[in-house]
Amino acid sequence: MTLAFRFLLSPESTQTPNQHTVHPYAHWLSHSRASENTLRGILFPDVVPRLTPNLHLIEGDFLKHHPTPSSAQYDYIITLFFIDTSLNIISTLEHIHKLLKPGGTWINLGPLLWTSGAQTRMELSLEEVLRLAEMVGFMVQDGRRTVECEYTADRKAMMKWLYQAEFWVATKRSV
Amino acid sequence: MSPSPDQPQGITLKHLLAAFLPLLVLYITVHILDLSSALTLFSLRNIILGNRPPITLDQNQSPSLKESPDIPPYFSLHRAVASYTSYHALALKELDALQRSYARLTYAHKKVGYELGYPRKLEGTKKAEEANAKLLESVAGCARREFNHEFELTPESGSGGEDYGKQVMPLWKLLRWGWREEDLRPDMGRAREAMKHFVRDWSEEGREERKRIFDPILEVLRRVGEEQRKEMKVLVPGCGLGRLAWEVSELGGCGLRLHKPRELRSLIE
Repeated sequence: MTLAFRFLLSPESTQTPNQHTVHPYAHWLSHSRASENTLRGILFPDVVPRLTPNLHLIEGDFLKHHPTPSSAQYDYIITLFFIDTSLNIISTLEHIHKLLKPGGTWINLGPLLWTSGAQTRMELSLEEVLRLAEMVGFMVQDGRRTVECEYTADRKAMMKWLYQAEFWVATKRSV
Repeated sequence: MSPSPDQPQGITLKHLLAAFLPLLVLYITVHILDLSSALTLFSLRNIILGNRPPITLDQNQSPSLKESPDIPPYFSLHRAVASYTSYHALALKELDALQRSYARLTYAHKKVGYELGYPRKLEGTKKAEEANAKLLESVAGCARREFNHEFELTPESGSGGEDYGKQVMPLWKLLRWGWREEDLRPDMGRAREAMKHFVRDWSEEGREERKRIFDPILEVLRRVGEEQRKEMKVLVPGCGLGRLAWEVSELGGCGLRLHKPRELRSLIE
């Protein structure tokens, strides 16, 4: 998605709000109440994003991200619909742990839809992921809950795909 | 008189047929399956043995064009751009299939279809996809500009995508896996995911969907005092089109984003 994001960030490509139009549902004629729904154009971006001293884009493999001078420098790491894209969930959680300052916070929200085709080393249940988090050195705080949500849904379609995503906040224990 | 068992037999026509018949069958199969536009002995060798080792999506493997000069890795800049630039052709092909299916109706039924406005709908789809293709071309153009050095190795012309479309899929792989994500032809999946993510992350239409998942997260961050926020470092791995990270940075903290190069559910990495 980096290219799509860069398209919005680039002053050469995107200058004003709602400059572009996309018809993301035009190809799928199923679950359609009316043709105009399927063919509709959607304007974007609602705001024009730019990189700032407060906002940096780092491209590359997450597992290879080692900011200098020391790795453990983040106060918060937020994983949104991300951890289930890991090919090795242990590596991912270990790396999150490593990148956090002692006492730092890991916030997670998402489903557990593992990459298909037996590409992941393991396909864990929620129970197993939480247990793994504990083993890696996280303490999941009270208030873990299920958040019902959609993902790139067509609001006007006759079909909904609902995730019962899990949300939790965890603290890095000093091991 | 048949040769005695002790005498070595020469190569007969039978031997030649046994050797070449499988290749002939292969040749025909490949053409029927429309796998290759120009079949030579060299490409036959590639079909059987494959151009490169099987793709293993090792998370530690960083995709780069240098690793496989003939075929770009699955998650790579070139495949991503190829997916965007091939979109129009692939979308038209898809539409063509719909048209042909409709054309199989009887004349009487076609009249009904016309009354219903079905041909007009297909025409509408065609126009919408054309607009999408133009948008995706712009995204590809931006990529070529920003990753200018990566594209020096390949032709800069708009047909960069089609080159990869002509790669032959190793037959052993085809037989084993069928048509899968490792299909070396550019696929529309990536382009379509990108378009949906423009909506999800950066449109008014996606606001509700964002709110449900951003609110719990931003609520945690809002508990941090305003002064403290300035010193905070936040990482958002796999941030997609970056809306969450942008929202975090708007809170006044220091928002860093990190992209993984892989994302099919996302699109066009």
